[in-house]
Amino acid sequence: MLKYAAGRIVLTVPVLFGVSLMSFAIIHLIPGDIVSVLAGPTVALDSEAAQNIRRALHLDQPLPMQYGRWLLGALQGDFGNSLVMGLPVGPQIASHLPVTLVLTALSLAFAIVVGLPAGVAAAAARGRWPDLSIRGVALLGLSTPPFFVGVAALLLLSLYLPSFKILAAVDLRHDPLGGLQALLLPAFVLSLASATTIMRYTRAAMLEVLTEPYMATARAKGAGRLRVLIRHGLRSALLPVVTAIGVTAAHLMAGAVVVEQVFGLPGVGQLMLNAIYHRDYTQVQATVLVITMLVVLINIVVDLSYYLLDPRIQQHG
Amino acid sequence: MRDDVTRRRFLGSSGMALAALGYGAGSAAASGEGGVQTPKRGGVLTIGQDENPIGLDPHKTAAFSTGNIAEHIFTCLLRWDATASRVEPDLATAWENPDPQTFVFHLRDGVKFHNGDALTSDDVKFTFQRLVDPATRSPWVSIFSVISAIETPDPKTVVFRLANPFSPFLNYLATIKYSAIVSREDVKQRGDLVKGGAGTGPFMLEDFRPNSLIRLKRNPDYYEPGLPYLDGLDFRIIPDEGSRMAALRAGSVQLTWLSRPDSATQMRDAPDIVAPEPKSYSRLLLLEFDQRKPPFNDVRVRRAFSMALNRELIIKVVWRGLAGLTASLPPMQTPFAVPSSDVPGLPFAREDIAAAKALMVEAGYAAGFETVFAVSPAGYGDVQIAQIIQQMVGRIGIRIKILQKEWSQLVADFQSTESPMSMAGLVWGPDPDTNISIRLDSKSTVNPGKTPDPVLDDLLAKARQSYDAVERTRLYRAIQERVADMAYVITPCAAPLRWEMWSNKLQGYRDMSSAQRVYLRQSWLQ
Repeated sequence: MLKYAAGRIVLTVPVLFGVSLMSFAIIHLIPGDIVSVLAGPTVALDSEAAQNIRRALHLDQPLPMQYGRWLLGALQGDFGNSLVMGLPVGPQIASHLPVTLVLTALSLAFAIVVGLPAGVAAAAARGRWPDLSIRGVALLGLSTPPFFVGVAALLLLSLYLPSFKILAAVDLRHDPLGGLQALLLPAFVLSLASATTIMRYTRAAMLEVLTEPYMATARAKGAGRLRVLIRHGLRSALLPVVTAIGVTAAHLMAGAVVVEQVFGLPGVGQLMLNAIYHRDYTQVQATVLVITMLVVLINIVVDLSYYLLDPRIQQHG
Repeated sequence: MRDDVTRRRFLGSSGMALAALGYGAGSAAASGEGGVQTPKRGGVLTIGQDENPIGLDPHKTAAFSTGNIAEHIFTCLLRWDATASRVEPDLATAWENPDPQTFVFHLRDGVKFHNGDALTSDDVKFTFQRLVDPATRSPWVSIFSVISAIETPDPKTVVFRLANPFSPFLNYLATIKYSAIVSREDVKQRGDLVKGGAGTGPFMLEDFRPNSLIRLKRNPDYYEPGLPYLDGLDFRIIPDEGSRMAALRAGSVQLTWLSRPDSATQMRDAPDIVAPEPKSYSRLLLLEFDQRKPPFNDVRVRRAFSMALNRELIIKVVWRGLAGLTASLPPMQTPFAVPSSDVPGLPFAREDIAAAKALMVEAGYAAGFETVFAVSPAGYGDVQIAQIIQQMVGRIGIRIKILQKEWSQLVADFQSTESPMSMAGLVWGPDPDTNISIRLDSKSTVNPGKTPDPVLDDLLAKARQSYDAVERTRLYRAIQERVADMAYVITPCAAPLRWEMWSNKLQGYRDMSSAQRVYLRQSWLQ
């Protein structure tokens, strides 16, 4: 298993390299100029002021040279300075990462706590009203985008529950408890679509497992209905569900961008969005790289968890 | 109309007695918008800010996101009065203008930077040297390059020598976004001020948490006695407009601003919220033609275009009436701008389809033509206006294809005239010269239409050099008349820069159409 894990981690190196090259190419392909961000529309793009900005940021060099510069630095652990702020990008990401991680972890927890039991219940009551109502609600959750739910929730709370403190600033380092509290609503909004996905995967997997002969055997041996459902049914059904959870976690990272925007949260999504908007190339590069790394990491964890869940993989894998 | 120069000379020679004492208290008492109220000390005002600032260095960027914060930390030699049309003393309590190329400023006594250092003429000199230093990357290099020398005969006197007469000078010196006074010692220590610096303003930086919160606290040594009343300003970064509306309703923030008229009208009925109508319109929508090639090199086509528009309808449909008619200077730029009510009297500014069609035939475009119109969906209104214009000029045979571009891409198009037509919203500039010269002067490098008009160039140069307010007004009126007559640019309307609104707990505050929020220095929470 260790050897397998090490192999997977080594494989991430070419992935990261490819992603860095792609993100560099894409951000430079987008037309527009950091000069117009810094200097505004009243300054000519070929004026002295504009030239000063480009020269200081090395943007007057050819693109391959710019990438080479960046890569050389990155290999030495120096990801450069933000073009807009002039500060090193590393600490910027480090200060924005905790909010995104806590937000996605909380959402994932919500999604699992809601989605898993709902899926089992729906499968157990297949075709009857609990199944239908769970699936109905799930469809609603899946088809309502988080930016709508987020703004609607904020507006309703501000109108009908003014004592509920919305949009408080989050500072996980100095006030972790308050920060966690402020992240509950955003995490809930973000979790809706994921809870639905997990519910649907669980339901489908359970339905398949429920028809297996060993379920009948377990029942015949005298095990209780709930015990059969959870111990014998859910355990075997979990493998595709874990895959789904892994995919969902990666989706949550993407959804976090939207939720952070709506709730004004200082996460990497906001950091990246601003960087793209400002054409802050170095900041985009580093942020994309970190997010890629996280998604790859989640996939590795999902792969490794198969070992724990399915004894057959341990023997053959 | 008062004569500006005489007034300045008078103030200068009389030593500007209304400075220091009584100045702060007087202006505070006069400002009570909600009747006569006694100011209350203390309390922190939370502000819903729409964008994360791209650093806090006031010399490095034109971005509002930075200016919104920096305008409370720094001050300038001069400042704007409440109407944003006249400058008044600030760090300089008096000034003289002995000849058109010399300005002498006398600095206020006892001003301290936030790091405890006293303000001297040396800091002022350093500020302007830093602004033109290529390493600073200031967007205003070309503006302040007009300064040929700065002399500091004593720690309280600064003498600026200009390369040529430059009447916008004082207006730039009153605008924090352009000329915030920084401390030489502080900049030396920090290298730059992106993470904040020591200013002379009413508030000082306490904490800067990007994308989350910027906390300013009261400057106990601020030079206007008793001000500011508030203990601090918390800028909460909330990018989403709907979220900012909810935050204001819920009381999580007590002041915010919106960019859409429909959001603004919604908030009008919200309880306990002050949502005033904008006093004047400062965001000019400017449509430009590529006049180097057909069809827009023909003045008849441009005039026909202008007459095909029903500007009142654009204001009604796109802005719900919350915008105004405008010439090539936004109406808030008083007294220089042609007032909204006089705009229909300008040449070719009134809708006349028959005359427009006749001009098209005369120009040889009886069958009309196809063209491309570049706009950006980044700001509210631009695309909607383009769509209405498309319908309106369709009536005289001009078939427009709308090309939507991302904002910084549109700026590039607009600057270098890539598309035959493009439109952008220009924000308030300190001087009428700021926006109009770079657009229409044939020597400007930002001249999308490439307007080669010696008459206009001459008028612009005279206006830039005249220190007489009456003469300047006359010149700018003539410029706007000329621009309308030749239809060099089309200005469909002028809109508010922001819709500002606040909780009724906030007292003593005044919003300005330039979206400067400097009056927070004399506001308090009830």
